[in-house]
Amino acid sequence: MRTISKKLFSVGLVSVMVCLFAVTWAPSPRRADAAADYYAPITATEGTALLGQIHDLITTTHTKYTSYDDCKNPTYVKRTDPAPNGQLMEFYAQAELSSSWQSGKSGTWNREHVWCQSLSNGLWGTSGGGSDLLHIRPTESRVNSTRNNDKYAEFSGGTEVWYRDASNKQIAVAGYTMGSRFMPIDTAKGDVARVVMYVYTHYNTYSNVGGSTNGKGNSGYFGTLKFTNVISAANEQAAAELLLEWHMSDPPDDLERARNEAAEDIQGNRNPFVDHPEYAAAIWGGGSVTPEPVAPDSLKLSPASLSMTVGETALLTVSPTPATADGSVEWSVSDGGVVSVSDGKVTALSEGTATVTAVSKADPSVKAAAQVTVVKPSGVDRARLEAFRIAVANIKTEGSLTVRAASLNKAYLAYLALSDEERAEAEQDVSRMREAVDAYNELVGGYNGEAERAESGAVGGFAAFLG
Amino acid sequence: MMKMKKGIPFFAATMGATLALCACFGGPMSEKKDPYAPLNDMLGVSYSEIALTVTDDFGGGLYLKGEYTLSFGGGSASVSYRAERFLAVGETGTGGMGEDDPFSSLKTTLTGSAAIENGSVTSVQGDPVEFPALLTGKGLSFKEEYFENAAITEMVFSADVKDAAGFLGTPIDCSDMSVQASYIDFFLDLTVRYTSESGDLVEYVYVFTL
Repeated sequence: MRTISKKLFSVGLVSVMVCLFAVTWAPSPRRADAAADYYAPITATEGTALLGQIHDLITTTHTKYTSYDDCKNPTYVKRTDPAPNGQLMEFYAQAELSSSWQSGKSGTWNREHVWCQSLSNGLWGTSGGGSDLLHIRPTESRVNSTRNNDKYAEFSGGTEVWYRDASNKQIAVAGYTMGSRFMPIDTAKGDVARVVMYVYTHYNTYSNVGGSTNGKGNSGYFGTLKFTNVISAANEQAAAELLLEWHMSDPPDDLERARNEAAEDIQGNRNPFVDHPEYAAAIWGGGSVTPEPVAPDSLKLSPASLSMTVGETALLTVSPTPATADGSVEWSVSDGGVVSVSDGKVTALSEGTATVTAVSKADPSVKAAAQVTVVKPSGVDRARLEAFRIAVANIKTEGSLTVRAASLNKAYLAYLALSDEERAEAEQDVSRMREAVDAYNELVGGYNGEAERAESGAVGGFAAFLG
Repeated sequence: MMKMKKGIPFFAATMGATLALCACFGGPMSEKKDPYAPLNDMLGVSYSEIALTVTDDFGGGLYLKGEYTLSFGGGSASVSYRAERFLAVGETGTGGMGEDDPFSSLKTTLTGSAAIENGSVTSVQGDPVEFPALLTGKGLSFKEEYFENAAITEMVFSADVKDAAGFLGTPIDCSDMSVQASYIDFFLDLTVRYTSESGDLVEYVYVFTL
């Protein structure tokens, strides 16, 4: 028999677990890929703000309210609670259960209100929250009857509740009872906690959870809910702490993830505490989350094309769709001799045409491109010529390498912007610039060569380990 | 993690500039065992990863750094790398590797990886970097004639290197090369320092992981 000390429920331990949880429990790539777009509207990081956004999300996306009959429809239930060989997964015992519907017969299954009807402040019976596929779970008839409307609790000892088949053979322990309390087995505690948190978040009025909407119609499904309605605890905080402990000790599994996929397909919404377990601690445990960047569906560059003169610079901006998606990109150019690009800043280097491409870092298959046409300047522009001459006069050939490089780059860019006529008129300045640039390039080229030789020698040492 | 071959345990003491033989082996002092054998044995240990950092210091806070990681797994080897290089005038780049490097804006960082199969470099990805010495050199080795002023203890080896090409297994122009390695039955880390022909200070640091 499992024994848990009540000292484990202290705030301090929960706080430690929250910290560990926040560090070690990141959404799995598969979950993030499957539902990333669904959670794009979630931008809050903690507390009531996060709870409110989640409430709004799961209520507004809940487009089909299934009926109580839907909750025994094998077409649905075999998707929300699947087990091998076309069976169902009994919710509390987490063992296979015949999918045959013969209500009330031992060894068959009933529809379990995880949050009992009688504990719902009258908000649901067998509709609305009382027939939500993310709430109602299949349980063996006698387990369902034994649990009755007991509140969930953590305790030591208690009487085993067995899932038995039609011949009364014990199949698996489904939980424990003590007084009017029911404790799930360890591998079902998290499942219970996440259903309770989902129901609380969905069916509470928005004023109770900091949201802004109670979804589309069906206003009669929302009301005031407290965890202590269904959790036996000293107060609301203690009830939340128990749910967090169960939630963290028994993380979401493939069954719950499969249920989320089925639920979104059937009724439109998902249980966020399965996809993003970190939300729970961020709402009720003093933690916080960083909104996950969502890969964009598309990118747009502005402007879509550029016409530039050699030496000019221009800025390309990236707009992702949706606007809340991750807009970070990697830049590249088709011809590095015509233009260069750095963080969207395009510099025209020489006459020609090039394509500047922005590739989404979140999804490299999403990209956008802009065509850049660079023309040589023509004629003589006195101001442009004077700017070049001043830049050459300010070239630094000694001292800090950073200062030297900055002065040379300024002069070089000013040179690139000159027309052929201007270059001819400023021949001596061009020569001075070239001399200084060549000297700098020779210096740093020498450093690069030294580094290459050093690294080659060091990497050569690896040969001894290649067997 | 592959099973580690055990090195031959030994103890040593230094007497001035010469090596003394280990007394713990017992037997007559005239028996001469190669004190470098354990170090060479450690080269044969199956490491899962060897991380190499090369720093070329030109003085005045100016340096270039390269990081090369040799990894083993699934019966093959690969090298991943990041290496800084200075930009020429007019070039743009990604910046250097060091967060506090005042010259970072003058640099770009080459990155990439290469698979090594049957003595050949295959499937290079990223910025091209050549590894001629990796494929044609013999790699590190320890022989008495490579070193002077050597000291070997249970956990540390240090020496001046008088034959750099022999020790590294590839030709190199340098002076004042020194080496220090720490180990138990396998290498923990190995550091090589020298002055290049051009006068810059070079440091290799190998860190070994089983």
